[in-house]
Amino acid sequence: MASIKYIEYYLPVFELTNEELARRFPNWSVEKISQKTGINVRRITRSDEFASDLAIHAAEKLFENSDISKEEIDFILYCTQSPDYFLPTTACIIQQRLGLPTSVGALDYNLGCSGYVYGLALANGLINSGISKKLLLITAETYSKFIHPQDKGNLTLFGDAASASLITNDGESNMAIQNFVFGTDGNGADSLIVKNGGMKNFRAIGNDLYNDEDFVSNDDYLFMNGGEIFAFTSRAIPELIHTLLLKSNLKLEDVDYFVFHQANKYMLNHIRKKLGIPEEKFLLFLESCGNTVSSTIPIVLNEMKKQQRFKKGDKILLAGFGVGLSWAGTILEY
Amino acid sequence: MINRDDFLVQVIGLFDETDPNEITLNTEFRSLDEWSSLNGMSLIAMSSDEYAVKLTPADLQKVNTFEELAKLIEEKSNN
Repeated sequence: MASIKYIEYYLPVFELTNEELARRFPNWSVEKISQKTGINVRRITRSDEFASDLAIHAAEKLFENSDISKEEIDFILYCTQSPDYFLPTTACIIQQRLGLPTSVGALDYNLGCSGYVYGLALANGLINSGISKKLLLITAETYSKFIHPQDKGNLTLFGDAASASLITNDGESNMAIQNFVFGTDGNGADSLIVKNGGMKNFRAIGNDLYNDEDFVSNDDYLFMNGGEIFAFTSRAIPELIHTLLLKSNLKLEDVDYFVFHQANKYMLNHIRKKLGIPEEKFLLFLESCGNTVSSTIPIVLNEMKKQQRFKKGDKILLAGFGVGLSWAGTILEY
Repeated sequence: MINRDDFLVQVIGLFDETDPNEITLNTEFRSLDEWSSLNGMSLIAMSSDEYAVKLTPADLQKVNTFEELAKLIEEKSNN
């Protein structure tokens, strides 16, 4: 059975604080917003620092803090929407930069907030079919580079980060990967999108759109229809959880911890209450890093492991949801 | 027709830092202490979730009280 043996993460050095946001947007209630979102600091990459750099840091940390050697890795799965280039695949560059054997399989896959759970599903398949024995699952994102400097809403929410997880089948005590449930709805593709830059609008140049004084959008940058995403989440996620519990023959009370994509505290609490999950079972870690897209779930898992929150036999339910629209859930057994 | 009692219960659930007694149909939601754009998103989400009516931030901009919001949702749902 495939399981997660180690998880590490890396945050860039520069801090975007509430004070800085208040200075940039004096007419905006940053304090109130950050109290609701549960985010005080976002960590942001420098202009010459990229998702692949964060990925390398996270992976190197994993090798430093574990008994795994680079020679043992036989597969890299790299989840990002911030690739270095259209081509080649960033995972190939990561192989070279980490000094992994040339015998590794390596591929990128493009997903956002559902990406970590998807990565676990792909890893699970590769391990259980005997194709891979020790797989490196990396998530890395730099949404800060997609956000317009006047887009105060998204600036407040998102932070950059990378995570690295080692997935193995060696059966030692770690987090065993159980059932999965997925969801996809391309109808919501335009609710969270960077329109320009892909082949469809390759060389298009966006214009700043304002509603009175307020920045609305520019197609060169990240656009999020917060209301639509909120509505999607509050509709799709309770259903995802119920389906996953049914498939796993579990009741809500049987789950020891819930680790949801850390979108923002306000929205998470809304879903938590809707599902009737007690606060002490609902794990949060975003105050000091913000919404880091595909890295939020592994960051929570790493922090809670460090705090020794989990004990043997605990069932931990993961749910990722967002851009796509795409959502996915799984259960880990500690 | 939206049942106003149910509607009020739904709305109160979205403003968890505000004393429920402070919230009536005539409350101007932007004047509540805890109001922020996130509450605006949650109102849009509630409309979509409970009444299958999609509101845009610009739609929400046109109304001030919860009663006006309920009317807007009814209007949109009849179209």
